[in-house]
Amino acid sequence: MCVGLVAPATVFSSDKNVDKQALIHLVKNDCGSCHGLLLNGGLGPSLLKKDLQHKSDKYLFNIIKFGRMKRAMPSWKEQLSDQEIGWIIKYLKSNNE
Amino acid sequence: MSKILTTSFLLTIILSCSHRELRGTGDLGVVIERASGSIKIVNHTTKKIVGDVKGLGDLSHASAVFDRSQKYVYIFGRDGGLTKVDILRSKISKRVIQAGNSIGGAISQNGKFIAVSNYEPGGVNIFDSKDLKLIKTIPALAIEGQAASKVIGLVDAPNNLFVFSLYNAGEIWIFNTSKMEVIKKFKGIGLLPYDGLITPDGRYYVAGLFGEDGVVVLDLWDIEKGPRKVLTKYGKKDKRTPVYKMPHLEGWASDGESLYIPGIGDNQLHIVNKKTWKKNRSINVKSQVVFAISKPDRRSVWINFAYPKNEFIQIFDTQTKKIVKELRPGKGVLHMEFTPRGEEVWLSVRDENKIQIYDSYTYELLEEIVINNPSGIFFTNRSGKIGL
Repeated sequence: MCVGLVAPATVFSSDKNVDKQALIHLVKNDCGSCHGLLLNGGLGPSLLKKDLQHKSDKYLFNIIKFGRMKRAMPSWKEQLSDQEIGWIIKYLKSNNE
Repeated sequence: MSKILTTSFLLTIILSCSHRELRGTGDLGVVIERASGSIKIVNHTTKKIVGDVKGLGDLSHASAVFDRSQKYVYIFGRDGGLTKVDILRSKISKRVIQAGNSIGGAISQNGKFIAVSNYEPGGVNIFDSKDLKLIKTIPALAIEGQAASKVIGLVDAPNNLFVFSLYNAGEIWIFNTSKMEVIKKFKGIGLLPYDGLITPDGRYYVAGLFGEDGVVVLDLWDIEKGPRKVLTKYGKKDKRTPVYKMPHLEGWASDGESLYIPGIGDNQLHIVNKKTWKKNRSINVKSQVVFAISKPDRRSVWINFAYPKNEFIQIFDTQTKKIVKELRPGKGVLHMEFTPRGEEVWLSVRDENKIQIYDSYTYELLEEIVINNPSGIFFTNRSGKIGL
């Protein structure tokens, strides 16, 4: 995992080229296989808004993009663009479901 | 006379109302509706929905076991819910919330006890199968002062045992329901055991490792020998592709001689000799395997896949040792279940909101049943099988 990578600011500010419904589906169902359909955790930690507030966007970006070595969190860089990862982080941090 | 006639008429009405058609449960099953906290009760002879039970909480990774009578099913919910459902009456008999986050459970060999494996708090709870009264809590505390470990790979085993693995701590524990205590703890079995299975004969408990290459085998006929790590060169630890969904190990991934083990981070199914515990061969498959399920006649193994190829399944012929068919049921093929004698197979296709039923010989699609967000499919014949 590249700990020092700084994601461009635009990945968190622009929704262009983002299929939001598809990403929500991905988060709930595919991320959800480890984090729970309701995102309240499972093999992976909770992704609920209240549990992410103290984690920086940069930290979350790096984990999603590069995964975590020796842990079950995979790298999503082959499946998601930086823009999509940025949108997912925004979604998770604002999600009230 | 009119009083006699009236009484006879009333008795006839009462008796006809109280008479219900008797039916068996041998061709019934349940399908989990993972997004709505409900299950559908299905009949695999008629291929119809015959019941509906709501109010089961978070079923996003739910599993089920049946009691010996095949009248009751125990549903293990993600949110720690444990529910006993009467499948003939389509109603909840008893429900408890026994933990914060759970992954699955098992029923003891004699049917008296239900065990639930929990992520939070890490451990196992044991319940009376009649009334779901909590009998014992087993915290998965491997190291004093550290948090309890998540428990995975819980199975029932012969001699009324439960066997399970500790994900974080890398241990295998054995619980004896006759003594109601943990009788064995095997430490340092390997890094991050992610799931466990018991072979259909109940002899071997096999835990797959995520943190390193290899699987761990415990011979339950010779517990004192302890577990041993095998297949340490079967994986591609340094060259793994990202694992988007953990493979699942179940005892049905086995025929007489072989065990079929999904690769970790590789697109392979590994065929392992159950006598020598050496790999016979590896089969290249379409993507990362989630389930590999042996058909009851053992002639083929049906395989489904993780994201992003979860719309496909492949069928491996155990005689020719080749992939002989590929099907594309639709996005999100989560689970497969054969009818008891294997002539048909039911697939849950999550994103299509359907169950698809195929002829397991001709691969013809026979029927589709609309069920919302289906995941696990469980037929009652599991009640007579060790580990299921």
